[in-house]
Amino acid sequence: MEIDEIGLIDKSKNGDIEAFGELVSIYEKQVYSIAYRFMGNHDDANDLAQEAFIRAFKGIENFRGDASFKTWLYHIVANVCRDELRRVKRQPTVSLNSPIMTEDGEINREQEDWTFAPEIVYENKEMQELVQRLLNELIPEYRQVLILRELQGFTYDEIAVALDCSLGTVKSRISRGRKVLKDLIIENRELFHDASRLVDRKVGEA
Amino acid sequence: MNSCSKIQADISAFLDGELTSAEKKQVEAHLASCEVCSQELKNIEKTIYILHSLNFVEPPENFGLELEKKLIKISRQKPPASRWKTRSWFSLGAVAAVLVLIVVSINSFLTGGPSKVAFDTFSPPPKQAVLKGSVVPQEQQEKVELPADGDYLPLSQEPLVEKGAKIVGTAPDAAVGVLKSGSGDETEEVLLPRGKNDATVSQVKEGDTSDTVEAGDLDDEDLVAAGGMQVMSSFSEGQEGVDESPPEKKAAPALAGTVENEEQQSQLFVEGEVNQLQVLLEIIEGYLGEQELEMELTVDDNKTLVAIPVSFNLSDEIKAELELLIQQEEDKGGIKQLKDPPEGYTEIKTPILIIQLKEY
Repeated sequence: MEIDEIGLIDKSKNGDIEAFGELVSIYEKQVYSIAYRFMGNHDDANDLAQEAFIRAFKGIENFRGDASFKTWLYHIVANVCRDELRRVKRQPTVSLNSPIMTEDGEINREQEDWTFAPEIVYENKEMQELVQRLLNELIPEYRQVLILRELQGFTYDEIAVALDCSLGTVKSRISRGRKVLKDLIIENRELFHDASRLVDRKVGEA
Repeated sequence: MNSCSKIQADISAFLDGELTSAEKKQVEAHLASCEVCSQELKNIEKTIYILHSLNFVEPPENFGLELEKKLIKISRQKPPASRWKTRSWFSLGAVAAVLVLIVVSINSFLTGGPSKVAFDTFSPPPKQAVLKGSVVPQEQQEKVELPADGDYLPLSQEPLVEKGAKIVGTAPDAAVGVLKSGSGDETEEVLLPRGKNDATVSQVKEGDTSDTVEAGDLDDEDLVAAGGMQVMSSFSEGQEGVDESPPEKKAAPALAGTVENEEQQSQLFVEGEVNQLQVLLEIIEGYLGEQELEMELTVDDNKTLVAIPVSFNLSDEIKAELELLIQQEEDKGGIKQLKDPPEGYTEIKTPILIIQLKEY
């Protein structure tokens, strides 16, 4: 943690809104991104990112620096978003989350091939939106760990701290979340293909 | 578990460098000889790669300004700055302590409807859990009172006290249980679907109008209009053998012997300032979330009391953890754990009937 940040946190504890505002400006993009990736739309992302900061402001007295401020803050936004998702029950399609493992531990042994180059996602805004749509299909718990892991680069330990859960839970949620997402991507590979062809054509024209 | 499934469960941690060296070697050895798992590894790698393509998203320009306005508004209010303060739910009693109860509804032993799968995707197929239901009989209704008496609504008992009523729900978070009023064998299924929000199986009776409302469909206005509170019933899991209560216990169906004791012992009472409690609740919620429990809040007013019915199928270990969490927060100040149920609460024999204030 930067020294400056500690000062801002101390001031915020005394109700200094300006100091807290500086903390907000440091983290707003990241907090907003988490909220956006969680909710998949700007309206909700805006509301929930604001709510997260408000909760952080109200609770900052209790922040003691055991974890980093960033971890603490992400914990709040991740939980605000998860609660909202549970509340509104944007129910994912059941089949999308159907078990990969059955009770006796079997796994679908036939692996489908990945038939498009994942690089195309980087080149295309529509593709990113498609990935976001697939992400929206995941249950909140999976979305939560994947967002913290892939977007924020948290280690498993940091995620466990941020979410107040065990390392084992983090490990299994990441594993399962990625598998569900992988299956979704494979299921929707035609969409990626279409976009992929578009990208190819554009590249060819250029 | 066959070795492919074990390896595939470890692939993510393998890619993230989160395996022990022994585990890592095991995975490497398997991958060298298994094409299926190697393909899976590649696919997971690509999935990660695709996720990394997602960019940061810029907040709208007025984000900070909008937030600042809200923060100024909050800090102008008397501490604890709280939206809840504007509510007059407990206006009648000038009672210092106000009861707030957190409802812990347990996903893990609920019967699974379609959406249940989503929350508990990889657990074994949910079984029809037989839950120990408890019904507070009509003659005991007056005992279920909070300090702010006159300000809450009596639970509409009729549908629940029907002999042998069996309540089965399908929504993921519904408090679903099999209610047995003692007669045992002849049960009748009653479907009490959960409302669109988070309400547990519950019914609200509006004053004397007998107007029964599905709790989940209530919003704040409804709650205020209806007197501001909803009375919920939820069900704790029965112990093996306990739910076959001998007929003589029918006389006091509020709670069958052993369960009553267990539940009273396992409640935690915390008193404190509302913002401190809020933090505590978030921490507990985070903790319980891992246990696939869901906790609902909350609240009103400055001096607030929280009773946490942790009686639902929680292991001693988890209870101890909860106590520890509370202890840690207590050390920071602002809240106090009470050894005994506070005055006014003792009337409630069980957390099975829960008054819940929704804050949405």
